Amino acid sequence: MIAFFIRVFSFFKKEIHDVRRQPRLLISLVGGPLLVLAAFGATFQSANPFITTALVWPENGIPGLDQERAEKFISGNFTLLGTTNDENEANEWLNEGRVDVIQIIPDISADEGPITSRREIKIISNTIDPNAEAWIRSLAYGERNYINQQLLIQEANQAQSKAEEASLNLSTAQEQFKELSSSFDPEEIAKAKEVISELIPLLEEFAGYLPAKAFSQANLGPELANLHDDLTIVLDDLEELETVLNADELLPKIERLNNIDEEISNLKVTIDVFATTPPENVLTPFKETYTNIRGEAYPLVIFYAPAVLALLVQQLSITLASLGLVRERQMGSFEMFRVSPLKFKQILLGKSLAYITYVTVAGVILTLLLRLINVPLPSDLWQYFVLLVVLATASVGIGFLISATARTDSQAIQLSMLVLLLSIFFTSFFLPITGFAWPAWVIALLIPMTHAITGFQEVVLAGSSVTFGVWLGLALIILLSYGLVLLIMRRQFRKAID
Amino acid sequence: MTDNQKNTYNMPAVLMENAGHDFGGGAGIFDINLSLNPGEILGVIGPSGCGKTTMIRMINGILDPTSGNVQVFGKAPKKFDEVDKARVGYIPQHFILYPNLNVEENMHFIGGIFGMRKQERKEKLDSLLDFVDLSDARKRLAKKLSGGMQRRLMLAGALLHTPDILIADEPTAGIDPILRARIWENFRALRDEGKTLLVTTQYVGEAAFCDKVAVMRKGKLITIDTPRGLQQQAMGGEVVHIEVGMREVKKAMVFLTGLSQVSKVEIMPGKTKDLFVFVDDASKAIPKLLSQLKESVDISPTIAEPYLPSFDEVFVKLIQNIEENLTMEQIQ
Repeated sequence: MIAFFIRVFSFFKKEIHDVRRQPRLLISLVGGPLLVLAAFGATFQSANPFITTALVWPENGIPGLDQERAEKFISGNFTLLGTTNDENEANEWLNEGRVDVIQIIPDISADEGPITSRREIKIISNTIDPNAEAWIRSLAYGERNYINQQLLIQEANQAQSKAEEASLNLSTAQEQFKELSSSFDPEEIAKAKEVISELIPLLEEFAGYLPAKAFSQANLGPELANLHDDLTIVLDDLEELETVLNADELLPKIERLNNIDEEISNLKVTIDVFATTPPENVLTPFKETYTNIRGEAYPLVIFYAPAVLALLVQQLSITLASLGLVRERQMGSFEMFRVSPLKFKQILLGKSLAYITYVTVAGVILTLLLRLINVPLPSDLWQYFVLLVVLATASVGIGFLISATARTDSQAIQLSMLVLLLSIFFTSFFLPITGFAWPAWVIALLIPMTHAITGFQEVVLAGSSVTFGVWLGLALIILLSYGLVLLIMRRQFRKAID
Repeated sequence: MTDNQKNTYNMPAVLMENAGHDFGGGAGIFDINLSLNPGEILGVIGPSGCGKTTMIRMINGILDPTSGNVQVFGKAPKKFDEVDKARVGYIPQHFILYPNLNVEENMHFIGGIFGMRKQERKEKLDSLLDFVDLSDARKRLAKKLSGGMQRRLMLAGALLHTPDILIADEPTAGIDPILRARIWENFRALRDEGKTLLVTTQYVGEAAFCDKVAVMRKGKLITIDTPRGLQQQAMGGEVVHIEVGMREVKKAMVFLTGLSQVSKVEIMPGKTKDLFVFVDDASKAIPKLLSQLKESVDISPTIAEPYLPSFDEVFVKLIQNIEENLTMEQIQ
């Protein structure tokens, strides 16, 4: 048993010496990732695509929205390179590739009264990037909503000023009708008729500015829902009052005047509520509130840091291990090992321990450096450390699998690069794996980084424990990779020579 | 000495009986018969590609025989356990130690894979490095050693676990004659300590350092004998070199050919007055030949000495003999 450990330790020590005597290898394997990480932290600004745009603004402007505000709003999402009134000029910029997108706002100055038909805001791009296209379409949708809202607010403002005017006239009418109730002399009747003849067109005009009845019922709330009905009742009563004022009988006049006083009072209440409600509330009664129970999400650099760490630890392990066996085989060392009392599992164990030690030390150094870009300390240092070791072990297993199948060290490096590519595309590093069909999920599950990203995010960012699935995924990769390596290499080791 | 060692002390260290390994297509080694006793050096000589390494690999268990039988200390190498493996030291053809480890670290590594404890390794390290003259280079990285030093490091590594047999595959290939001589000095010293050595070489001259020499050609063992025996085999007996006067050459040849103890007389290749006289025992024949030449034909040779052909010459002769025999067989 002691001899077993002496043999394992011999390989461990040999690998430690071998790697430490190759400063360039250490620099490229450990220093390289450190530089990458530092460069990532220092230079990353945004995950959003950089899209340049030009705005075509109508010469007559847009009611309720001035050019400066529109440009400011657009600049929040795009890099606005210029504004023109000439659509052809903007098209030229697009065709010449000076901008990625042009945004053409229609001229609605010729429209009269409330807007009843839909007008087009044209967004034209020349992008070849599907992500950029999705981004542009999403921003265009937001922009359309913004402009629509500004126009509706303008409409609502107009309706509210009409409402104030109507309310004022209703008060005058109410007073005039009160005077008439006390004395039905012809002069008062003439005045009342005059008031009615002015009030009816004003109320009809106001009714035209009001949002449609169904719209108002759905959005203005119970106080305003009856505005349309009250207005109709008052208009009907005013017409009836006009009719009875022309008649000789006194009693209908008195009855009608009593009724209309009450109805005008009701209408004034609903109009006052409408007039004093902020226009944003009238048009978009719902607003969202967002609460993140963790406080707030991390900046993108910090969010990506655990994934970058997982990638670096994985690739460092794979690179070291992928060369570990192939070099021995190329050197011819297996011939000597085969003649000695050595077993292949002792070689594998000794080398694994050495590589895992190196990678874990590098991982700890990387973790400390992540503090420089304000990545929080893991909530559970022990779990974090174990996860680092388990990730290194699983990745070393994958590296050995590459080494067992590669015939030369250049083949081993090529296969390592292939794993790097798979890791970038299929581990939710940049693109969520949920967006892929199931075969990609199988690939993802076989890559240590997939599980490690989740685990590091849990223990570093979410401040929770590493979930069982992460441990299980990594454990299965370790069992599978080491099992296959033993299977493949036992045969090769027995043969010892090519 | 372990019980295992005691039990095998009187049996051949290496025994090959009709052993062969057929790679197919005519490649491989075939019908090898040899026996190497403990405490002997067996040199295996032959041109590149003749099957020396294959033979070594069969002996150390890397290749199984496809025919016949191979035994090392009475056991098939394939069935070796840890104790059996520890009795074998192996120097492969190429340098396979680690260039980024120094001499001492490489030695510790080899000791480690044989399960030796650190103290045990340390105790043997100094004497072994002295033995191979690498004490001053113990902290030097293996990649900074010369070719000869690397070979000697391999030798020291192979001896660290005190094997009973050392199998060395072309340990002197590609190094200068002075270093080759030093390595053979080491081998003979080991032999004198009682170790058994099986050494392959392309340098025919190195046969002189061996107790037994096996000559291989095209996968077959042509012959196995002592170095002197090989010389006799090649030349068809012992040879006396006699130099006479230019005018006496013909007379001396006629006279010597007629003597009963002389089997053949030839003019030495490239010379005009030097003769090769083939006899059974050169040292006994010389005084007799000198007196007979003087008394019978009045010739007094200026040189009369036993002729020892170089092993290059022996090897060429042996090959020529084999090819002549093959040609004769084909004609018949």
